[in-house]
Amino acid sequence: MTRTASFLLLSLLWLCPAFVSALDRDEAALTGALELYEDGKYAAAERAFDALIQSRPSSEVNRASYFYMGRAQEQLSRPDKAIGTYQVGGQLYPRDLPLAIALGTLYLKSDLFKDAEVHFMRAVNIDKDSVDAHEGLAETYERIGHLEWAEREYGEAIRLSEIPEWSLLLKLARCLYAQRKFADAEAAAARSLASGGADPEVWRLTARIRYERGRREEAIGDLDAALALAPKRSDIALEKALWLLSTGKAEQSLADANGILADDPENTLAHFTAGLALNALGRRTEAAPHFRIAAGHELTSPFIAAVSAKILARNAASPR
Amino acid sequence: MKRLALAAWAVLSLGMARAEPAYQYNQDAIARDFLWLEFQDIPASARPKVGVALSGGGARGFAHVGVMEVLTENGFPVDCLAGTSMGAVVGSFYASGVPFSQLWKIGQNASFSLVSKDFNSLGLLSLLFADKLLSSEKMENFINDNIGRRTFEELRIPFACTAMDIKTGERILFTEGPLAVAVRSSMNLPGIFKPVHYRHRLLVDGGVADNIPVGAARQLCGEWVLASVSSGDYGATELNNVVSYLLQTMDIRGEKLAAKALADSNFIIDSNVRGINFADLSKSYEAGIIGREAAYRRVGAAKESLILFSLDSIMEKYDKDR
Repeated sequence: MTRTASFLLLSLLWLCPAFVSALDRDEAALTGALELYEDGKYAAAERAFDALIQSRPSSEVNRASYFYMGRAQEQLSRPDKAIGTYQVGGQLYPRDLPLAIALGTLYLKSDLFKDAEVHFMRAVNIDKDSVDAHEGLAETYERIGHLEWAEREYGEAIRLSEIPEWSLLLKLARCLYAQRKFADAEAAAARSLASGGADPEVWRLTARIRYERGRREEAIGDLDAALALAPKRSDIALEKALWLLSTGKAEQSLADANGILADDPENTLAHFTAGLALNALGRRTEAAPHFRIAAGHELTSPFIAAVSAKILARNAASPR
Repeated sequence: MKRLALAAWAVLSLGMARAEPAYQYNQDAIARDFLWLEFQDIPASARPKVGVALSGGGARGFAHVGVMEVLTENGFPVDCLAGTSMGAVVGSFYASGVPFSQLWKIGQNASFSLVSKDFNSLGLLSLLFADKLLSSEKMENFINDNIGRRTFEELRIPFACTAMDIKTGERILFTEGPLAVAVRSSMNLPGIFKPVHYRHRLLVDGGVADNIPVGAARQLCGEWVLASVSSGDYGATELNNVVSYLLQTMDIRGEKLAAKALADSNFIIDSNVRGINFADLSKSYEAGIIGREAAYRRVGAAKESLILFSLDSIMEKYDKDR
C-alpha cells in the first residue's frame, strides 16, 4: 500500500463518523420540522425548513426541505413564496418528481395553465409511469380546453393505476361529457360509482349525462341520489327543481324552490326557479316579485339577474 | 435511515394528495346550463337563426378551426356561415362536413405550397423583378381534393364567402355556384397572386373589402351572429421584404375596415393569435390550438348571450296562458 493510499484510507475512517453524525443531525432537524408541519404550525415549520436548507444538509433532506417549505408556504396562503421555493428546489433537483408535481399543481391552482403544463410535462418526463403526473397534465389540458388531450392523459393515469381512484374516473367522465361523448361518459361515471364514488358530484354528473341523452326521469332520480348523500346542497336541489319544471312538474318544482327559500330567503336561483314555475302555472302576478328579487342580484348572479329582468319586461309588455 | 425513508415516503404521498379541482357550479352556471338545455330542445324553426362569421387573417385565421370545434362540442347550432380569406377556407370545409380531425391534419401540414406552385424563391424573384404575379390555381385543386367538386348548393348549411373585384372595389359575395373558385378568390392576395378571372370579374382576397363578414352572415340567415376574429400584432411582425410590407398593409387595412362589422355582431371570440405572422402558414396548427383555447374561455359567455337573445323562444314553454 502506498503512502497516499494509506493516507486516504485513514482520512475516510476519520471522516465516516463525522458523516454519520451529520446525517443523524439532518434527520433530527427534518423530523423536528416535519412535526411542526404536521401540527399545523406552518410559520414555525417554514422557518425550520429554511434553517435546515441553510445548513446544507444531505441531498435527500434538502429535497424534502424544499418540498415541505413550499407546502408550509402554501398553507400560509403565500403561493408566490411557495412557487419560488419549488422553483429553486426544481432547479437544484430537476429530476425530482414531487417537486415538479407540486409546482405544476400550484400553477394549476393559480390558473397559470401554461406554466402548469410545462411542469406536469416535466413530471411525465421524469417518470412516465407516474399517475399523478398524467392526472395533473390531464387536468391542465382540461382547464385550457384541450379535452381530447385531457382524455388521453386521464386514460393513461387510469391505466397506470392499480385500482383507479373514483375521483380520477369522475374526472375522465366529466371530460368525456364535455366532449359530448355521452355513452363513454356514462360508462366512466358508472365505473366511478362502482369504485366507491359515494360522492354527490358523481351522481350529479350521471344525471347531467342522462338528461342530455333524453332520459330525464332517470336523471331526476340521479339527482335524488345526489341529494340523499348531501341533503343540504341547495345547488343540487335547485337543479332538480329546474329539471322538474322542464318535465312539466311545475307544482313540485315550486314546492322545492319554496323549500329552499324558507331557509335562505335571498337565494337568487331559488327566486328565479320559483318565478319560472309560477310563470308556467299561469300565476304571473305571483312570479313577478321573485323575478324582481333575482333581477336585483346583478352583482352576485349577473346572468340570472339579466334573464329575470328580461322576463319581467317581457311579461309587462304582454300582460294577461 | 428509517426516518429518511419515511420522509421520502411522506414527500411522495403528499405529492399524490394533490388538491381536487373544484367543480362547484355557481348559481349562474346552473341557470345557464339549464336554459341552454332548454334552448337546445327548441326546434330550429322556432328559435333565432345562428350565423357565424369567420375573419380573414392568413395563418392566424386557422384559429377558426379551434373555435368551430368548441362551438360544436357545446352544442351550438350553426345555421349559416360566412368566411373571408382563411375564414372562407375553414368555413367551406366546415360547411362541407369535413371532420375536425382532417382539418387539424391540414393545419399541421399547411404551407404556401398548398396555395401556389410558384410560392418559392424563384417565383418571388420573378414577382419582384419581372412583375409576374403568382398563380393561386393550386388552391382550387386543394379545395376540390379535400371536399370534392362541390357547389354552394350542395353544402350541408348555407355558406358565403367574400372577395373583392379589383377593378371596381366592390365586395363580391359568393353564395352559389362552384365552391373552389370562390374560396380561391376569397384568399387570393392582391399584389402577389394573379386576380381570379371569374364571370367578367377580376377577383382578389376578400379581406381588403370585408375582413369580418358579419353582414354576409346576417344576409344568409343569421339573426344572432358570432364573429370569430383572429387579430394580428403588427408591431411584432418582422418586416424585411417587399412581400411582408405588402401583406402587413393589407392586414392592417382589412382590420381597420372591420371595426363596424364587429360592432354589428352579437358576440365576438377574438383568438389571441397576435404572435403569429399573417404569412406564416407553418404556424396554422398553433393558431388553431390558440383559437380553441380562446373559444373554450368564452363559450359560457357566448351561450349566455344567445340564451338572452332567444329568451322569447325559450319562454314559450313557460307561458301557460299564451
